[in-house]
Amino acid sequence: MAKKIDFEYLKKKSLNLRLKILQTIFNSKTGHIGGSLSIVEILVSIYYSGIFKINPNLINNRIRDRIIVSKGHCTAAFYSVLSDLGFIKKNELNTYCKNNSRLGGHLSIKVPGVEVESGSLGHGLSVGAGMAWAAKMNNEKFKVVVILSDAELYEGSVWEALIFISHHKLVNLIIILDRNYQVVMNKTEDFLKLEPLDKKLKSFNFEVKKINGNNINQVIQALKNTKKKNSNKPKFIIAETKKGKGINFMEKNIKWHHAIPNLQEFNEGMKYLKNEK
Amino acid sequence: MKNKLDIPSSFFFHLMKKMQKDKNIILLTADQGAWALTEFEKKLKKQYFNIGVSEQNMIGLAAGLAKEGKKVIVYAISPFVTQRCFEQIKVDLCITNIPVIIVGSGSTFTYAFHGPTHQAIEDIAVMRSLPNLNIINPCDNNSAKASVNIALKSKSPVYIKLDKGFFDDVYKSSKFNKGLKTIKKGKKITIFSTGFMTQRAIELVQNLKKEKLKVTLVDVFKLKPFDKNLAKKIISKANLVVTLEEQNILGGLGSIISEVIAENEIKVKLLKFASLKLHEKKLCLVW
Repeated sequence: MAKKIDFEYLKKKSLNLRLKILQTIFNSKTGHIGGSLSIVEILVSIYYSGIFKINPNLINNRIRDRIIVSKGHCTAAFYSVLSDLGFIKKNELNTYCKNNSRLGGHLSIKVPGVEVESGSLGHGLSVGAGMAWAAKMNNEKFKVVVILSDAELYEGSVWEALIFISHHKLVNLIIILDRNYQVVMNKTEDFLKLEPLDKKLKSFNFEVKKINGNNINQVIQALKNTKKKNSNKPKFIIAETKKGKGINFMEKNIKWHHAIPNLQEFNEGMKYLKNEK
Repeated sequence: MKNKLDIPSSFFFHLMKKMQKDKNIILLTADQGAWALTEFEKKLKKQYFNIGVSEQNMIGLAAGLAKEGKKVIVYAISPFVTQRCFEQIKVDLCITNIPVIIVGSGSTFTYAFHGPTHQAIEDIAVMRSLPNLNIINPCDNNSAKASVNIALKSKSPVYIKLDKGFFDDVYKSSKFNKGLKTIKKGKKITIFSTGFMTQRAIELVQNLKKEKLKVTLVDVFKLKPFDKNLAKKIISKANLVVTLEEQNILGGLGSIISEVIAENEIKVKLLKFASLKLHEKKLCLVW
């Protein structure tokens, strides 16, 4: 039996992660802050809830669940999680995006805990599908979780993979979309509509669940539901989030895809987050 | 005496034997058939899959399967399995050095009559630029079988460029691993050729013999990694070096040989024969 989930603890983790993201990006003067802040509850729910088998002792262990962060530009968030959990040393995060560091602006498999090289969009889903397919062939029990961004849905390779996953009923694969409705230059529905996304995915024969992806209770519940064995459909969670979530002046503001906060903005952001504590 | 099997059939039947022994080997095709593959459908149902015309997804799937310990071969017509999914090969296979085997059929002008979309005249130049990737271009049935053996043992990704057609054996056996083979020994003129052009070069050398010209002919089986040391030794003995290939003149075999000449400051004349500006002329080549 899994332990009871402490939601207060997870909320605290989420807030600390946001502080870490802001500090890391402010220190290195580079990184993607908007998409790092939107994905916080998704990462915290996956890494701190105990729903999945992942920890530093299981690196390369066949029983581990495979977590593929296909939206590879959110390293400020993801590497902060890896550092907090001991996949990498805590002080290594200080080297983020600096010369000779392995912690770059996009995911690298040189970093322990990273399953798939990322940065170019639309790669992770096919690779994840291959891993899930291998598990099915080998009768292995591990799950594969792939986290996608809105922008990736404009890549044809993602739809090639969705057709494949659906036909081959890869039920051991869980796709989570960090649906913050924004890309680098625009809001998705303003320049090139993706909606109705749930209908599109349902017609592909996915089990689709739309949730508030910045609500930890909803994310946890959706992830738990994927473990139920009564469905023979692959799972697709549309986690609706806010880009820049948690820092009021960044939320849903196009500028903060990868703008770097100046000292005043940094202080203001830190103050805002700390008031939330 | 020409072989009764063509190059792809020799390749695939040899691969089939290996797959029957090792259930861990998986073959994916992007809806590209081959005569031998009908046997795979009957005998290797759990190891052979048509995943549809989706080359980008095919490379990603192969990377995922390989990460989980499968030995994966992906197959489609050369331009589609290399250039169409170039970035997947770069990111999913080469940067991470995952030993997937990419097999391109209809090498270069095999499908000449189908027009420029089906002609792979840039694949060597393009694929050669990728880290960790090996490139093999067999010229007969035995070297096609050798490419199976070598690729299955490789710890890095491999691209095999498969020509089509019934040819005489150039190699006596499939048990070799060398990248360059001197097929004819002559005097001061040395021809380097690869794949199908080696078959043409053999005819050429025989014709030149009638003209009392004894020419050395070297088959380039492995284009990458290229045996630069052996090539240097061979080139140093020549007055004239000729490269014969079906590729675009930029970045293929001619470029490889000119790099060896330049890097080693060898004083020798070089004549490069390749396909020039074919796309611009919109030619439909049939022979």
